[in-house]
Amino acid sequence: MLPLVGFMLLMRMICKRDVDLILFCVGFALMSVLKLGMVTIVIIALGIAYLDYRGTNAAAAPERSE
Amino acid sequence: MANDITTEDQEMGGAMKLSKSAIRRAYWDWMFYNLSVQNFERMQGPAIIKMLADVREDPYPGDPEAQQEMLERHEVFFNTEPYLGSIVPGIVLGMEASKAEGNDEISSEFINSIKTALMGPFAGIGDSLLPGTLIPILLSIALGMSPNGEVTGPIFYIVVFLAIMLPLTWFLFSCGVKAGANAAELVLSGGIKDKVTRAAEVVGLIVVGAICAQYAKFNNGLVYTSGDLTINIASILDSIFPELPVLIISFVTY
Repeated sequence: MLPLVGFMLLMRMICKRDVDLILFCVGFALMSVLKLGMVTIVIIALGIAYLDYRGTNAAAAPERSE
Repeated sequence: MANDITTEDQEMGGAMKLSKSAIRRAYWDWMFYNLSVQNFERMQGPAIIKMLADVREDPYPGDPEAQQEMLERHEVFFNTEPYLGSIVPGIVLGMEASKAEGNDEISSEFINSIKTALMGPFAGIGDSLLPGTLIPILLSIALGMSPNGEVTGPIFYIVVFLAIMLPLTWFLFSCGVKAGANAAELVLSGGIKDKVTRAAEVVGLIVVGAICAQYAKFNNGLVYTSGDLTINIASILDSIFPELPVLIISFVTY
């Protein structure tokens, strides 16, 4: 259980909103259920980060135009 | 000689506050102490602190509080492959230096997110390349050289290993310092600071989740027995979601 303490110390620093814990679950599931490699997971994570980036842009764009 | 130092400093991107000798000092610290204070909670976290503590006078001269803040930032879990992953502490060092220069936009969350996002892939690539490939090759050569206990085998191994590793890691480390220092300017010039920080957080969180599933193990030996009937609760939980207890316990800890 000791590694978890270290991980959660790290999580408290990265995680700003509690909703972001979903992303943590996604990473957890990718590793434990699908048993993917670390590099594969990072590629998927980059894809999700890109979608997140586009999503926030799309949400911000109408506000600017009005 | 003085001119040489200035041009070298300028080549380091924005990292004027880091002298060449400080970078070298930090590099040797990383090479010697990377696994020395290892424990399960923080792995190589203390090594990062040791590295930054030895060069702490460069970014924040005579400012103990800022130095303390910088070191406390790195008290968290960090684990990567020490040799190929030496680019990660380099990036951390470069980013710390440019933060010290007054780029307050580089938040501590940004540094930690980048560090977390990078440590996973470099550990994965490094572990398969170096301990998985290079070291067995070198060892098999060295073992063949000394079938009767000659001393040439170990010496060959040590010399060749260091001859490969030292230039490689130094190259990666100084690349990391440059990249870390330049990343600051790149992020600031585009005015996309929030979005890049957010993306780094997303990648960091997913990587932490994956590493968490990889490292943490929890055995619940729950077996319900009633007469001849035996129900293995652990295997039922596994069929719902593997390592579900680990996930639940991590939320409790959080």
